[in-house]
Parts: sequence; C-alpha cells; structure tokens
Amino acid sequence: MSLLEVEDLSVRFDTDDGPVHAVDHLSLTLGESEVLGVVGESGCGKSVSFMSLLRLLPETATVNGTARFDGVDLLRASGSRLRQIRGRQIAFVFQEPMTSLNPAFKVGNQIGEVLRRHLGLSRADARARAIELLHLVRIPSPERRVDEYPHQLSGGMRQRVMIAMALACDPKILIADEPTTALDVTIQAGILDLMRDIRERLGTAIVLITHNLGVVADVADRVVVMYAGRKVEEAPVHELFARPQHPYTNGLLGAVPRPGAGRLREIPGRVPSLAELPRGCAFAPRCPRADEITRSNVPDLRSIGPQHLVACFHPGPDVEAVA
Amino acid sequence: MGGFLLRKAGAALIVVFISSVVVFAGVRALPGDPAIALGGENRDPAVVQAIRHTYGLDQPLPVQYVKWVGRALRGDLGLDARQLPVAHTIVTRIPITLELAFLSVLIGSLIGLLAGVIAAVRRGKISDHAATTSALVGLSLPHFWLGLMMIILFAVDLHWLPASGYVSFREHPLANLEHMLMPAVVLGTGLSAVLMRQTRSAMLTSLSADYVRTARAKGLAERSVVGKHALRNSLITVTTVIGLQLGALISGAVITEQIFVIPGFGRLTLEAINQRDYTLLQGVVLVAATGYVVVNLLVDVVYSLLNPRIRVSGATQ
Repeated sequence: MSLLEVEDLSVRFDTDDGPVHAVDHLSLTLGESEVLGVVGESGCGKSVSFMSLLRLLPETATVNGTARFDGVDLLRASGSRLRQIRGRQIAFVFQEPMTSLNPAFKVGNQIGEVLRRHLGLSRADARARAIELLHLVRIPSPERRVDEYPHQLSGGMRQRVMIAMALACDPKILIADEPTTALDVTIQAGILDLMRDIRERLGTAIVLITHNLGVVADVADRVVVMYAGRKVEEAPVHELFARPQHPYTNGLLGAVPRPGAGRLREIPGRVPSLAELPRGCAFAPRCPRADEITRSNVPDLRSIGPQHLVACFHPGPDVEAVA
Repeated sequence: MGGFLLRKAGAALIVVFISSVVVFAGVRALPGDPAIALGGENRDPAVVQAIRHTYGLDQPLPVQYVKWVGRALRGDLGLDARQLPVAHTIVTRIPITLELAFLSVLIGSLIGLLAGVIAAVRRGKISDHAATTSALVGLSLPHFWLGLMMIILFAVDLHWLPASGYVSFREHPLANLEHMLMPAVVLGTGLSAVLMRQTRSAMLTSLSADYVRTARAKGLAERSVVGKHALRNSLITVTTVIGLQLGALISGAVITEQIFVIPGFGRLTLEAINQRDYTLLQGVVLVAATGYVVVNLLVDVVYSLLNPRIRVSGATQ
C-alpha cells in the first residue's frame, strides 16, 4: 500500500502567450520510507508537480488529476484540511536556502512556528525542541544558532535549518527540491548524508528532486526520469543505472562525470519550450534514435521489466554507453 | 546597536548645526530691516538705532550667530516682538501640533496599511481597484479644499463636529478629540494615500517571495502568512515612507491649523511670518528643522529594529 498515489497529474499555466503544459499526465507512487529520486533538466516540471500536490503554485496554475494521501485527495481537500497536512504530514525543503527563510525572524522562531501551529507547543517548549532539531541536522552550537537570523548563517546551515523545519513535526513525507544545488560540493555530501540518516532513523519517505543523477545514485531507491512535463522512464535505481532504456536517460548517464570514462557526453540540442512542444515524442528533436514514427506519435509508457517503465518506441541502452 | 545609534546621532547633530546656519542666514537674507519692523510706526533713526542695539543687530553677523546658538543651546531663543520669550511660546504651541500629527499619523497609517494589505492580497479584484482609485483621489485633494468640504458637511450641515477651534485635552478630553478629528483626518489623508500605494507594492513583492511559499508549506493559516511573514518585511518600506511623510506633515499642519483655527506650531509659523517677527521666525524654523532631524533619527532606530541586517552591519563596521 503506497503512502502517496499520484494519478494523471497535469499542471497548466495560463500565460500571456497562451497555455503552457508544465506537467502532462504524470502518475507515480511513493511507498513508506522510500526514497524516490525525480530527475530531469531544469523546467521539466519536476518541482512544479510536487508543489502542485500541496497547492503551492500561483493562481495562474490549473491542476488536474488526483493525489491520494492518507485517504484524502490533496488536490480537492479543503483549505483547512490541506493546512493540517502541509508541514505536519508532508513537508517541503526548497531549492533556495538563501531566500526560502524569512530574513526578519530568528531561525528558532521559524522552526518553532511549525511546532506551535501543528503540535500546539508553548513558546518555551517550541524553542527547546528547535534546539534539538538543529542538533539533529548537525548544526554546531544550536543553543546559540537558535537565536540567530538567517543572514548570519552560511548557505549550508540555512539548508539544514530548512530541513530541521521540515522535520519538526516528524512528517511522513519529506519533499526535497534540489536541496543541494545551491551548495558547495563538500556541503552537498553532508546534506545527502543527513537525508539518508533521516530515512534510517525516522523512517521518513523522501522525494528527492534533482537534476543530478549522481545524487540519485547515492540516496534513492527508485528513480523517475522526467522530460518536458512527462515521465519518460521509471525503475529501481540499480536497474536504471544497469539497463537505462530511454535515450534521454542514457544521455543523462553519459553526462555524469566518472573517473577514467573520458570526455563527458552531452545531449545535443536544448530542452524544448513547453509552450511549443513538438507533435510527436518531445525528445525526438534531440534523439539519435528518432524516426518518422517518433516524430508524429507520442509514445505511451510501457513495462519493459520488473518495475521498469519507459515511454519510447526504441528503448534500450546506448551501445556507446555499454561499450 | 550602540555604535549604530551613536553614528546616526552624530550625523544628526551635524545636520542640526548646518540647518541652524541656514536658518540664521536665511532670516538675515530676507528683505526688510528687522529693526524697522520692530519699531512699527516709529521711524525715528534714534529709536531704530536703539532697537538695533537692544537686539544686538548692530554686531557683526558671526557674533550674532554665535550668541544666538549659545543661548539656544541653553534653551533661550530670545524675545519676540511682544517681548515674550520665544522658547516659551514654542513650548506651549508644540504639544497641540504634536497631538494633531500623532492623530493624523495614527489615522493615516491605519487606513493606509489596511487598504494596502487588502489591495495586495486581493490584487486585480474590485477591492484592489477601489483602494487604488481612492488613494489617487486622496493624493490629489488639496488639504484646504478637503478641510473646507468637511467643515461644510460635518459641522455646518450635520452638526456632528465643531467647525474650528481648540480645547486642550486636560480641560476636556472628549471635546479635544472632537475638535481634533477633522483636522487629523484631513492631514492624514495624504499620508494614508501614499502609504496605501507603498504598502501595496511592498506587499506584492513580499507575497511573491520564497519565504512566503515556505510559510504556506508549513501549513500556516493565510492570516499568519500575510500578517506575519509578508507584512513584517513590508514594514521596512512602510516605516521609511512614514518617516519621509512626517516632513510633509509639518508643512501640511501649517495649512490645516490655519483652516481649523488650531493654535499650534503651524499657525505660530504663519504668525511669525505675517508679523515679520524675526526672532520668533528664527526660533520656529530652527525647532522645526531639529524636529525633522530627530524624527529621521527615530525612523532609523525603528528601521534597525525591523530589519536585523541593518543592525548587524552597523555593529560590525
């Protein structure tokens, strides 16, 4: 039984230049204590789809589909029911630690706010718990840091504060949107380590949104690859790395630096604008395997092995990559 | 925090010094001879000479300036044309204007902030358009016209409020407020209009900030998202606007007090000008300039309380 079941999720933005389909019929599930990696280039709809689940998108977005969590359809739940879930059951860590914390309040206050809101703690208790949480995310001298403002902390520490805030109410799901992208490489490793630790110790299911397959290989159990608002491949992490099927996944894997693997391969071309997607497979213009069928038809997702789905007319590992 | 305040206070002192020079020189540069003005009908050169001597007007300007400032520092601004101490006159008039200013800032801020927040939250809806339009109207209305219209409506036609005059708060608190209400609203209108527009745009910026999304993702009620997270960051802009508008309030008070016949500081300024009372005018303008500097200093303090980043950068530099 899955913790979260998303079915046919579509997100459309109505802009001045016409509608933009940011997410197109996305379905996915998340199990208890599972770490799901969601991979894709910037603008492929990975952040948007998860923000839409908690209805955090601006009013210009139209969201369709269902998202079942704990017997509730998140997309149709009442505002007050949703606010009980936000921060309490499903918590978010955003990409930008620099701007995602409020500059006008002490970090202890911002962490304590969630505790007071959802668990009804007093100010003093919330502060004490905030110190524990800062300790949990391995911030040194938390008794001092709790009374500091965000601008007094480094980027890595701010991201830890965001994580502490997200973990405050012991949520069932932690959605981490590019949690390491804005950070130095050494700090990235620490944050990923922390994520693993959280799953081990608290049993929190984690959705790790990233454009970095290296991060996914490190932490995730299962991977969803997205391209231009669609899921193009889904597989357990070892399966995906061993037998990548979609040419896009192959391309991404080729772009991961490995010692001794020679020059990095890049995926030719650019991510298409979501406002003017090609008629057939969205990846066709950049795809080495593209042909007439590909260019005029959109491939459906199909099963190609145990728990392995791919949306491609010509699936299979790149010959080059295997060699 | 201490160092920050000290630096700000030092800068303020310099500004007060410069303004004292400008005030002094400005009054001297006015056309007409103060001694002749003081002499009134009596144009006898001997009398004028005597007046010059009594007021020290026959001494070189720098000497006059130093004497004036020296006395002013001890709280003595000299005697006016009626031989009354200027400092005492100002001290009795200032509380009246301060009350008027306080009430108008209170009314203006309440209306301006509330309308600005509502307009930002309901952006593009009817309440936004209503608030924006009323702000434009409020901004375009001259004080004297608005004051007169209010007197006609609320005093002459409806008899709800007294048309003019002043009763001190100690004498009769309720009557005092009745007399002060219309002038305070007139004076506060401009402030509320400016404030509404600034609050609206500041709120629109903060409402689209990442930390507001974080606040929503935490499950906070919209009241708390808007009233705490977004508003707190907008207040920095708003404080600056109020501070800047306080200067406009001083000049607005001159006109408003004239219309509603309130014997405050603004009316005193006009009296000093009309009667060519140089000592009084000099004192009034100096006090106004100092008051403006003090207000700006206070704004800086409030600013640093609202924005922790300013405080810290001040302390480390």
